[in-house]
Amino acid sequence: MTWFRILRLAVRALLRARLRTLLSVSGMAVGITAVAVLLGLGAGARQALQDTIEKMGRNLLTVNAWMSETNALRGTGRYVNTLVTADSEAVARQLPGIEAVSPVISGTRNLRWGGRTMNATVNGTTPEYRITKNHVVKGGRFIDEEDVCGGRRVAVVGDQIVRELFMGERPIGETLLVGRIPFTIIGVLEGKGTNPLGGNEDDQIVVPVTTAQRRVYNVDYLTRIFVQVASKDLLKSTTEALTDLLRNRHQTVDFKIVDQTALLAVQSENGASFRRMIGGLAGLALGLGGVGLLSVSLLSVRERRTEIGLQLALGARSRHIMVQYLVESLLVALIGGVLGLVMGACGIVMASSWTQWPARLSWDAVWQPFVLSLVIALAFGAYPAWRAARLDPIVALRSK
Amino acid sequence: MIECRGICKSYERPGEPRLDVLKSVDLNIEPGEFTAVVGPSGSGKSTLMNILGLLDRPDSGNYLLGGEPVSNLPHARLASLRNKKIGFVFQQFHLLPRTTALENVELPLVYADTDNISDRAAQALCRVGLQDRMTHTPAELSGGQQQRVAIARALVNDPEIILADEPTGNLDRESGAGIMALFQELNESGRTIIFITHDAALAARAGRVLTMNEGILAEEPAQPVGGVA
Repeated sequence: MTWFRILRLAVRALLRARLRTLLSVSGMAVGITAVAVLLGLGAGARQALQDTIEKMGRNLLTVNAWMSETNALRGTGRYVNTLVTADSEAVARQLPGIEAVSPVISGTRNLRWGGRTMNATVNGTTPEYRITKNHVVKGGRFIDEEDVCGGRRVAVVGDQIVRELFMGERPIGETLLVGRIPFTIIGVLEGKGTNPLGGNEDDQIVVPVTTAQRRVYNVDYLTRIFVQVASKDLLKSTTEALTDLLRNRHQTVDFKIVDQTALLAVQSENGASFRRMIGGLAGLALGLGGVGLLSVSLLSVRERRTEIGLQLALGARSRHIMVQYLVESLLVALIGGVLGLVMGACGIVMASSWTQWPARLSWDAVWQPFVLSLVIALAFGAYPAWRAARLDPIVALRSK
Repeated sequence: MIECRGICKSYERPGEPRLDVLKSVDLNIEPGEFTAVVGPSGSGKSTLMNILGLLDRPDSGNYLLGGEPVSNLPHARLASLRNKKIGFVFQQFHLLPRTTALENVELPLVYADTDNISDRAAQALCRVGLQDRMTHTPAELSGGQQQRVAIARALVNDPEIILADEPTGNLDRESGAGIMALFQELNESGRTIIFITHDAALAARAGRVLTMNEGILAEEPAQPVGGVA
């Protein structure tokens, strides 16, 4: 009961000194706002990176056909023609921890339909391509084993092709000219947009690897092989195993293995250092809020010395005074914290809708600043409260 | 009720000679006594009051409050005794600003383990004749009324002793007389009252007058107190 009454005293004291309370509350609120916005930006950036990795294919290694070692040394290299479907089959068969493998022969060809024409990437591959690259089929179906075995002239088209060549008309069942070869469209891929590495997968058409090699490009080799491993931890060991396997088969290292996740991580480093800078600023703002709280509280204790002396004379114990002043700091921090969270949430929403920064309102961005504000209140409120509780009642009563 | 034997108190400041404020003070106060303490400024009256009110400790000597030795009690116990047994009235009233009379009177009960603090505060305000001023803040009350609120606050926890340090010092003669009448009334209903004053006329209304002079307490003034106020 006593503690509840002390809480009431604290509330009344805050209401009595409105301007002072307002000042320390707003100092706190600004700090919390800064931290909330920062956490929102951080969460948004992490989410964006996660989304990108998902879109580009999770835990994906790319084996690119490269130059033979001797050509590379001469610096006059042409890309090799030694990477073949048998390699991709060997990878799928022999390496552990592999989820899916898709061989790809890739190039650019002119597409024609209904009197319109456009250039597009033509990827010859297998049904696993959909898994490795995490494509979603929006309509119709993807290519299947029978399409590959039979060397069928069927194609799945990307979103941009539907928009630019078909002008939004339903393309499934239509016949599309790839170079001079007619293909029947069996499916449409959902659009992915541009990824942060500058890649665009929406302007592709996907056809069976057999058909692409024989009819479109007239070659028997591959451009690259996509290898999806079971987990992130296996990326490194699988890269080594892949290198060993292919070096044995080719008797040279004429390929290059790329880990896209690693590339993205490097890219997001730039963002990270930027966020560290904002982090420093937010910490500074919060620190200033805390110091503001500290000085306002000290001033308040000084101003209310007589009041404290009186409370002691009327039977308050030191800890009653201590608790009252701590509670005052906590209440200021709490109100400032809630205000800061509201302003921070507005800031996050504005940042994500008005700027290109991906910001996201996460649970972390709510509870972390909140807890932080309470910690700051305790840290910066403790000293003034201790000063108040330590006052000598006689000296306190006599001052004025 | 109050028994003091050989109470000494001195202050030392670096670079200044030691100041003996109380020089072996002996004092007996029986329950229900109405006592005035007079004496010039700096004679040690307030220091004596602070020690009697458990706000200060003597350097040496024994102080028995209601038969209990209190000189060496821990702080928390002293706070509890101040809360239950002693009511303070100050010259400057010491009311919380921008706070209603009722809430001011409730303050001692915040630290007491009791219920119905509003009811008890209201009763205390009725007792001092301020039943119509409960929701007024100090700024809306006259000096005399403010001191009445302070007396209600001193009374609210039903203490045995009321200690008043120049309760009429900041009041005009008429309000001061009203406050004295109130003290007399409280004394007649059985409360022990000790008050400090500069005013010989007011002191004369007390049942017993003590004179403090340079740290020495004496019964009855040797000569009528005058020219000090």
